[in-house]
Amino acid sequence: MKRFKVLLIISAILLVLIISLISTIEILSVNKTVAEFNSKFSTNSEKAEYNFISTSDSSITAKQITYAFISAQLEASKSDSISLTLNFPDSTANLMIKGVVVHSAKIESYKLSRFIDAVDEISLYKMLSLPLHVTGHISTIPKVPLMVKIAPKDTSEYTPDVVPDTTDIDAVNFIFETSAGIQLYFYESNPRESADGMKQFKFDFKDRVQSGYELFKSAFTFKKPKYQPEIRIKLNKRDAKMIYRALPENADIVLKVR
Amino acid sequence: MEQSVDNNTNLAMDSTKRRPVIRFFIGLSIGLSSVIIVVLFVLYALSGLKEGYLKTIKVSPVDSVSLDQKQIAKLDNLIKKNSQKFSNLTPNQPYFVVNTTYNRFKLYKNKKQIREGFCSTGSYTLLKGHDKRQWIFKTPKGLYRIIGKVTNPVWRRPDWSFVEEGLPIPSQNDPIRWEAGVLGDYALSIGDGYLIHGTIYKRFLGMPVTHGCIRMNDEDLEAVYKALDFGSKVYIF
Repeated sequence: MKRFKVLLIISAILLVLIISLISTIEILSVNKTVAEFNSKFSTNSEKAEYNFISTSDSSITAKQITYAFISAQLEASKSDSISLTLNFPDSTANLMIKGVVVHSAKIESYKLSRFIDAVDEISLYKMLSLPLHVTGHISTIPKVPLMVKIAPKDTSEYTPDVVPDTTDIDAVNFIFETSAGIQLYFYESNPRESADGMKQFKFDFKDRVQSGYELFKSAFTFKKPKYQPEIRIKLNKRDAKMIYRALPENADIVLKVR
Repeated sequence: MEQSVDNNTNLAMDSTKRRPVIRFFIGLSIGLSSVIIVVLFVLYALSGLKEGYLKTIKVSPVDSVSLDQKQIAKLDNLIKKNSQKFSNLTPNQPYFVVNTTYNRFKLYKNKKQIREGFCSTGSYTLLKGHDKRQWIFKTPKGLYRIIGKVTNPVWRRPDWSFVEEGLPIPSQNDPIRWEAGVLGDYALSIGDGYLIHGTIYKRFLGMPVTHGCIRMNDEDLEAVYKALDFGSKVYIF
């Protein structure tokens, strides 16, 4: 019985130690990412038409945010490809081509990472004054819904096309990795109203398992894990599908977070 | 009496035999619970906890840099100038927007929507021919301009239209390639062989069924044809 109690205590200590180790390295990596972000965006460009300042004056802060947002949109409009603007204070997600809004969607809800509030003000404005580039994506739907058809050898093999099934049966959830290191998670809102709830849970769980695996790997090799701040966005299913399908592989994304 | 003593001894022996098994299962469940706790902690609790330590940066009045009136005016002017520049990107002239995911169109004039409706766009079919040639039937995305306008268009059937029906491909000048009446009353070209035209397959409007062109019903096509001119912008997403 005594041996059993000792075993129990050792297990509890091990559990606490593992949790502490994982938490410590994760917190260290968060702090390191904040420092890296600040140094990456801290230097002022001499060519800039305006140099951001750190101020407690809320009216100037608002002006700087507006300026950063418009600058980023103008920059994105220089590209030929379709871009996305996420304006969180207005809860709108706009698809744009050359600066023209071609589709406007309502952001049903969102959750910003605390990272946004923890980084240096000037660095944040600078990051927001340029569009982010999508560097990778994962999704529950294909980007290009390609169907392969083999040509008939002669007219006897030919069958006219059937009416395509346009019902939205697939759950729409996707993740964009961006050049600034921020991950954008897009989920369809109200998945429980359809059969998509379980699919969304599986998509989310798979992503968490992947991150968890990377974390364990880092913990047991004593390396700092990669931390990526997240922004989680919920959109109507149709809007989410439209946005994912419309954007090219390396799309530009403009953010307004305040 | 002797038998009863024997029975008691057997029971005691059984219970001593069972103890390591019970201990093993208790140990196993503790071990498993520990693993589950760690996994759940990493998967769900840690994501919130790790950022919990981050401090929100608030600029103190001591560190705050202030702008003088001249600098504030400069910032205001920049915002005004860039907002105007951005607003000017949206044309005042009529323009056309096509949504290929849900096969809808919108027509704008003076920056206001004047018409919307169903259309048909590319089916995203990859047609593989027997001579190793292949075609993807998709509507291109991005900004295009109207580069041609015709009334009563006649369709010149490209190679794929014969291949997909299992017909032999005729020569380039063969009159069999020309087909009248299938593109409606009007056609507007956006380049690379892509047209905005009418259709005889009206039941398919709102569906992705075309070979890349944009099909519309007769009334919508007429309105679009009349509104858009050479050089008008067509936004496809």
